[in-house]
Amino acid sequence: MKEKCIYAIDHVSKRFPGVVALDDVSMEVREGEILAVVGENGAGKSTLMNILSGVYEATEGTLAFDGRILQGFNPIMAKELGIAMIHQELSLFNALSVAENIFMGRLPKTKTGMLDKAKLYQDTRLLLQEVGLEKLDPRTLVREINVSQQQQVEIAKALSLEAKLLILDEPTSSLTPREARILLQIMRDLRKKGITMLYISHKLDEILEISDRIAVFRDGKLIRILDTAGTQIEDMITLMVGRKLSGGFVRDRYMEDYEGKKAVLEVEHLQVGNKVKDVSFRLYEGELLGLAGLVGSGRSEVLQALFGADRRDGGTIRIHGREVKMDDTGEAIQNKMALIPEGRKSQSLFLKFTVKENISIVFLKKTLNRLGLNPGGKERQIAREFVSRLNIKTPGIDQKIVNLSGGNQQKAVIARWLVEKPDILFLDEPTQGIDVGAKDEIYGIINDLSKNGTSIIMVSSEMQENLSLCDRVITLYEGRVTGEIRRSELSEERMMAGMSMEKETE
Amino acid sequence: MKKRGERLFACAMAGMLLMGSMAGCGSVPGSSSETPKESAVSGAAEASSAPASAAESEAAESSAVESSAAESSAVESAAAPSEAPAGFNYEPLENTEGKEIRIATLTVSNNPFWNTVVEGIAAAEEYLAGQNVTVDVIEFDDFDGQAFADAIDTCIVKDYDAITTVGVADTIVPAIDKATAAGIPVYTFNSDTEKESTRVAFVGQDLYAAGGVAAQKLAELMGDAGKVGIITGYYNVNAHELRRQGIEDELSGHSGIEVVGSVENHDSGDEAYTAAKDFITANPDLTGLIVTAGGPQGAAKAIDELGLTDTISLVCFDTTDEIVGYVKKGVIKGTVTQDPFGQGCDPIVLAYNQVISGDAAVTGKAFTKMDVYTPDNIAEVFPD
Amino acid sequence: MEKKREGTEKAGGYGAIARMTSRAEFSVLAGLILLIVCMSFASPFFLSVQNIFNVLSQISRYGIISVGMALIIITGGIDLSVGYAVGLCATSAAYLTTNVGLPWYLVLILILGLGAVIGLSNGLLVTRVGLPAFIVTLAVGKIITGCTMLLTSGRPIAFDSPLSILGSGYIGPVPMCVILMFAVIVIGTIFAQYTQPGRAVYAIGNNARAAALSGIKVKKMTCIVYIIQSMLCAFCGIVVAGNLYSADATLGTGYDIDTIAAVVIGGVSMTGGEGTIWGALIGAAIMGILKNAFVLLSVSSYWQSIVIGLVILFAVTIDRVRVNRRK
Repeated sequence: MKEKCIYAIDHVSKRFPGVVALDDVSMEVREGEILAVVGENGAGKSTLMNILSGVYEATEGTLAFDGRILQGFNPIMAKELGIAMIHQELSLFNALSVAENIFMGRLPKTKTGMLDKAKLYQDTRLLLQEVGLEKLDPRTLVREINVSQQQQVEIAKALSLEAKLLILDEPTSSLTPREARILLQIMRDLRKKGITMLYISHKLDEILEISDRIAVFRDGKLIRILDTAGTQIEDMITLMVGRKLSGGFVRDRYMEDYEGKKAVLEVEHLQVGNKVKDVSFRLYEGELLGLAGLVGSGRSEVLQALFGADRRDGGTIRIHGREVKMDDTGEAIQNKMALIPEGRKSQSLFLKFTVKENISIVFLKKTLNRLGLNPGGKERQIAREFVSRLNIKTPGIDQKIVNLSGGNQQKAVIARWLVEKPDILFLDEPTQGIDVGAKDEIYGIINDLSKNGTSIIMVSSEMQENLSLCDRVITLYEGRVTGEIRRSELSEERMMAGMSMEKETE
Repeated sequence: MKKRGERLFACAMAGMLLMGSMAGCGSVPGSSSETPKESAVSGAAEASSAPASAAESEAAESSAVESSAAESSAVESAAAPSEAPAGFNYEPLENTEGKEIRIATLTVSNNPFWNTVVEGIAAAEEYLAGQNVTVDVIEFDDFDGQAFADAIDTCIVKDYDAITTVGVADTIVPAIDKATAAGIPVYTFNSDTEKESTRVAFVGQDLYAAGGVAAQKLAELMGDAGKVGIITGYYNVNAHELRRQGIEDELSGHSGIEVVGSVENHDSGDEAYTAAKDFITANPDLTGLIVTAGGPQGAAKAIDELGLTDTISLVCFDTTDEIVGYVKKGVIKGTVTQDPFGQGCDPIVLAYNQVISGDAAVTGKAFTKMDVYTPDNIAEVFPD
Repeated sequence: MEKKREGTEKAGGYGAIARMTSRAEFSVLAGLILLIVCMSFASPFFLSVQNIFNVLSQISRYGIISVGMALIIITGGIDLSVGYAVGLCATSAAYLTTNVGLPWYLVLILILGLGAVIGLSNGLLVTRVGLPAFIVTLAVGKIITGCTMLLTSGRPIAFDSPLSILGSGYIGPVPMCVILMFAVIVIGTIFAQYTQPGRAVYAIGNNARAAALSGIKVKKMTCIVYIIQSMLCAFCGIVVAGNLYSADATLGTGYDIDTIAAVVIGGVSMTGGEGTIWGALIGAAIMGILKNAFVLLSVSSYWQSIVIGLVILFAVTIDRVRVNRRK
């Protein structure tokens, strides 16, 4: 690995009104390396990436790319220099084809000025090969491919622009483990070709696997750059958090003995569209059941159908032994069920509401007085109670919820379902896009709920979560149950096995 | 940050309003109209365009208004300081006490016909300015009864001495009555409301009779036989309805003539064009078309384009430049006039006289002159 | 994003004032006051008692409907049938009273029922069939206006009924329609801010999926909101007919744009989920005063169209700027 510096960052600071986002950061990015950037939310990672790609202007300090000091730096100059950013939220055009997206703005033309489709598709095929999408037809519309493939298309686009430096912001957060592996392999291939990569991620195990060096940020400062060889996860966490965290959450009590336990929820032959083909299982009182599977296996659809949010095409549901229709969410709530869906921005947050309003929305009836009106007093009381109970970091309950960090937003969403203690709680990717410290707190909340008798079904793509929290795990593959694993036999291999193939033979 | 943006918006809006009001002061018809005419100062006859000269010759012909069934009483003719300008059908009195008088005039201006009315209003305004009278003109681009009613209410607040208005719809009747109750006499012109109101007098065409005259002319042109299509302005506007009724009643007396239908064109030339074409398509043997209100040039254009000038007779009302052009060309074979200039200036003069003398010289229906122009006699009145 | 935004949540009273002044409605209120001040200098008649009541009466026409329109836009929908609905209900009320001779209480019930039917059709087409509200309400409006034409044959119908006091009656010096408008505004505000279904309306406009997942019956509430709106239109039709003692087919034209403008000026965002009812009242007041100003200052109708168009443009632009700034 060459030691030539491709990007020199010299005493860079960035200030916004009232907050210092980056504080005197100096570092060198070496050509051809994969440099991981880690830190809790608010540590300064995204700000730094925005400065390096020209979106923000540094308040102080200088940048030098490929030996040249950057003056009047902006995103267009960044693109010309060969700096490409792959965002968390992809920026492709859904209604256009893969080829058109990649070559947007520089579509090849024939002599008469018309679009040269043959050349376009051919060039696209070459690029797709480099990112492992050889089998993808360049004419496919972007909205027809899944998130993982869209990401690969973004990378292909960057490569077509002859990027020398790729900045990847949480690229695997919406990918399954298998898709993440594909991405990591692509990154290795690119590294061989001499392309430098900056890689922001919360997935510390991945970082150990792929990176050459690790830059740890905390509170806007660069704490240290570690050589990956020889680093352990605890080392990273200690630097990120400033304190030692126990590795892997441990619950107070796990359910080992199922003798005599009653089933609070029984599902038989559940069928939802073509995502859920035939799912049957039981949820026992007081247990924490993991529902594991790859993206597309139907996990979220199961939860949404059980909650009455989506129509089911077949199957029976029994709660406490009594069959229920579950036609709408109102019925679910009456049966003391709760659902915290994935994708909080699209499915659970009311972005124009305040923290208080987000918390009170489900059980609004508790805020009403005798006349059926909500004068506000009880609502504020409830909100304040949960803000303190769940340790939601906010300047106040009247703060607009958009202003909170992801972790605190998620805690508010959880709070809304705790206003009346649920018997059955569904969690769908509860810690997606949340930093380590907040994750820990949410595990604590889950632990407390379980202790107090709530039965929980959790869907999570993070192996670590499933391994450390679940009493039992049911694996799904393409809409069918493939296996059931007790905690005593729980391992990553057994889970992967159930998630990636047909019914396992016991 | 947000506050600043919104304060800016509020200031801009207020600025808009002030700008509008300043423009409003200057947008009184006559001073900023598209056709630059030199407005005459009291007394001098102006003869710079066809309509005015038409009015001049009309005024020369008859000094009293022709009326068919009106109860108009004789015009009071006190000694005027100088001769009333051409086109005025009533002599304005002299404001001997010199007291300040304010009159409001509400008019429509959605097609060229109204330009002449507005000229009449402007002439009255100019002349009476010498008598310490201000005339505030409020123009509307539509026959919007609600808007007129609201405006009359506001005029009551502004405590005008008199109001003249187009009788656009029955919806303005309560407002008219409120004005009269507040001691402000109201005159209507061009159209009168169908419902009875307390307005002093109506200055305009005997619309029903005009319809009959037009239909008579059409029957004559058609040789008393054939199919006729009626294109009317608005069913809602009483003036148009009266004409239409007059037409239908007259035509029903001609057994050889069949009315195939009637549609609205909302005073629009484009809609008249489409309507005419539709009539001709549906009735290939159509030989007559009659347009009761604005926009007949559209129907004329349709006939001309289809080369049916010799087959289809088109009769309409009024004498805008376009209509005159088609009459000369022979496409429009007859048009009935209503002295739009007089409709503009006469109500103002009558109202002014009432304020001066305390009596209404003219009450009820004061019908304006009605003439029929054909390709044969149009050149006399509108020379090339 | 690492940017920490400074909240308006300061301690105690200052916090409340800071919260209040940063709201959109406050700025619009400031605009209204500025407008009133300018007008009182521009015309000596502006602040006379008679004029004030005149303007308030004129505002009450779309003031009543803007309550319903605000609710609909808050849910993220829109209703372009309002003007036509007012026209049909006004002429139907006149028809039933004058031509059919029904007693006033029957007329009231039937016309409000007509409004409910119109609202239900709008609501069902939007929620069950899934058509965009813009198209649905426009189409329904066109159908309604055809019905009005059939009913009236283009002629006005007289309306002389005990119900007329709703439009032209007075309580003391204050016109009845003004009192009715304020009553509707107050009830609307209480509904929107202090009741459970009111909160549901905002939630639906904010994030309909999240609302459904929170137990709110989204389809039912949306229908209800459309029904409320059209019933208010029916009520408004009776008031207007009572005011003019007659009704014709042109009644209600232009109400849709005016109401939407009033609501948007008043701080209700076209993207849904925010805004208040009393903000809509401020917007209606601004529109009403502008129209009054035109006549007081003898401004020609050409200028009227330009200014009103510009004001609407301003309002929608400010709305967009507000939304963008938040991102």
